[in-house]
Amino acid sequence: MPSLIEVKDLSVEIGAKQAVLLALDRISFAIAHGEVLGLVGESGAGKSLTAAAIIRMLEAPARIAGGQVVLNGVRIDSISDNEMKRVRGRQIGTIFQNSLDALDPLYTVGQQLVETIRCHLPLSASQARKRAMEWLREVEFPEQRFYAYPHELSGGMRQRAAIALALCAEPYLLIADEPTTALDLPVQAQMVGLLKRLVQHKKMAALLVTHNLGLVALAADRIAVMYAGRIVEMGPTRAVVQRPAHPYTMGLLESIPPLSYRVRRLRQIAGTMPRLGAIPPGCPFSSRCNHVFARCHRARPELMTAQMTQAACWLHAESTCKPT
Amino acid sequence: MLAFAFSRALQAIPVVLVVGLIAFALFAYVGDPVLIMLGQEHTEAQRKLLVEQLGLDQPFYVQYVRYIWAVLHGQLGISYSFGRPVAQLIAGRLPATLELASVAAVFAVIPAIPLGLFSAIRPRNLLSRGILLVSLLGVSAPTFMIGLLLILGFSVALGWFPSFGRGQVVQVGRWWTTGLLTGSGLRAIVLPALTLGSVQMSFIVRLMRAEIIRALQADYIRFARARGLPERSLYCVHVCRNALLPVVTAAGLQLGNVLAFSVVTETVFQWPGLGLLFISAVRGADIPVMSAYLMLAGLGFVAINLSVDLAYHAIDPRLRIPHLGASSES
Ligand SMILES: Nc1ncnc2c1ncn2[C@@H]1O[C@H](COP(=O)(O)OP(=O)(O)OP(=O)(O)O)[C@@H](O)[C@H]1O
Ligand SMILES: [Mg+2]
Repeated sequence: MPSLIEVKDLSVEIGAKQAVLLALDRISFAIAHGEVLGLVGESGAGKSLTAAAIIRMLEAPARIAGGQVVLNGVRIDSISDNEMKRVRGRQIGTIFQNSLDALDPLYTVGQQLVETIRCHLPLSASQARKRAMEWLREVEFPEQRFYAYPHELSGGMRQRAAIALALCAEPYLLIADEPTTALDLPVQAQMVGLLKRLVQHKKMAALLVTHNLGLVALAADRIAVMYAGRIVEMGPTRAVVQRPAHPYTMGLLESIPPLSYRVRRLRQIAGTMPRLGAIPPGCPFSSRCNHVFARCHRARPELMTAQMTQAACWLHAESTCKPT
Repeated sequence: MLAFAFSRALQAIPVVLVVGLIAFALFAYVGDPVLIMLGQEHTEAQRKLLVEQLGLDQPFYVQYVRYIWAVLHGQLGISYSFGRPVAQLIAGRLPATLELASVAAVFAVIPAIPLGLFSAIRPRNLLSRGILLVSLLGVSAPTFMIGLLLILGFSVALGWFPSFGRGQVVQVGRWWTTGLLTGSGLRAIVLPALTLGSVQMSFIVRLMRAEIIRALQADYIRFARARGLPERSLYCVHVCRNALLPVVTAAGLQLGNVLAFSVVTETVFQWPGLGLLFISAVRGADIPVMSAYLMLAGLGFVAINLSVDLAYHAIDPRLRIPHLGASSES
């Protein structure tokens, strides 16, 4: 199946001339129609940067340093800023992190929906209003709250309103950056389920960013694991969750609190993710890995086929002298 | 909305009463009105009679209530130096001051908002830097100096505008005189209004700029961008309205300062308004005029605060009481 969006070797730099740090290093992935790709990783891994780079809303001093983003066969990384404005909202809907503050406090939910719909679609005010109502129903937002102001809504409701806002112009792709972080666990699961249903129902694709592997496993068809600005493992959800190939993914899996209340001891990955300026040469994870061996310090592993996934780890290279 | 306005108006009453108390204390205890009215030469009987007539032998609170009662009926006493009712004097001077203050406010607000917006959106632009520099001067230079500089430039050197007075005025209705309908009146108001408005304008430019910059960093603006809203509606609908909230408050309260500074401006330009009347009253120790001015200024501030509250209320939905059904949800 042809991909809806293809990201190829996307790199992002941060900083001025003297001190440039590579914050995203050749990120590549593709998402097909109707598919949900989960992007997971620790705080600071570069997930939000990836999302912002795709829609070209990086904040200075971060900027795209290379790579391509192809949406529906069009390279949106090289079109003009004005053309890009027509892509945002209309072709790619985005929910940023902190989406609890996504709504302008001075306008009602309905006003903001109608405004967005009419900015993208040639509809009259009353048609747009009808469409807005439909979207509220779609995200299970009580319709009579159409005239509510953001401050009158609970977090879960604001979240739903933000989803409706991102989707109301019917984009092909939804980028949801930690859409649930500010909510409590049961509501998080609910929200992720809602996103999944919407994507299937509307035949969209979605990039679902979160640091919670357990949560993303509920909704994603495939998972990409990020570490220090790189994708270190990617594969179908079941494979990544059940038979992870990268030691970092294994560590992540051991450290997530289970959604069900099974009693299990959580283990955490030793150490912290290196700062952008202090990423070790060779494998970026080598400083925290239990399986580290000589080659990991020498050369940087690219994604390679490993068991049922793709992993950037020398343990899975065919012709290596693995430690015994 | 109406209920809110009403409750706010009720809250203003104690403030007015306290201002009235101060004005009354000034009126009753500074100087000896009997001495002033009768002169040095008088008999004890004359004095007693006058004290009784004026009610000065009554206890303090009775005098206070009487004073408030009289003020409510527009009786503000007789001016010592003019020998005419203070209410009449004030009514004659009020139009000049109100016209000056309104024109100054228009001068201040209308250019300030777009200038502030521009300097926030294009911070590197040369014009923006110019705006910032000039507004810094405007905020820090004293009013009288700005007035003198304007006179020096535009009336002494260029001769475009008169340096004092109100020009020719026409009577409108029974109570109002206006200079805004005659050529000379219009020319006369330019320099004083610019002087009076300059501080406010500089202040609003800077505040507007700061608030726009703050609003631009808000999450909901980023989100609005990601929704693909065009730049124009982004700024006009979302950024400006959010930035205007604090500007409305501050600019409204500044209006009180406009009134206060009008004393200085009216003196510099010999503008025949309340400020000038007040200054001459201070010179002549004309207590009834001074206390009436105090009352009036107090009322003015209260009215301004009230309208600021109402405007804020109209802009910010968070201050409104949620309508029924809006507070329950899953
Ligand atoms: N505009 C910016 N300027 C400078 N540094 C930035 C900028 N944006 C991101 N960074 C840095 O880039 C790195 C990746 O940030 P990013 O926000 O993508 O992390 P994340 O994976 O989304 O983390 P989280 O789970 O906390 O949201 C971090 O080290 C961050 O400090
Ligand atoms: Mg993030």
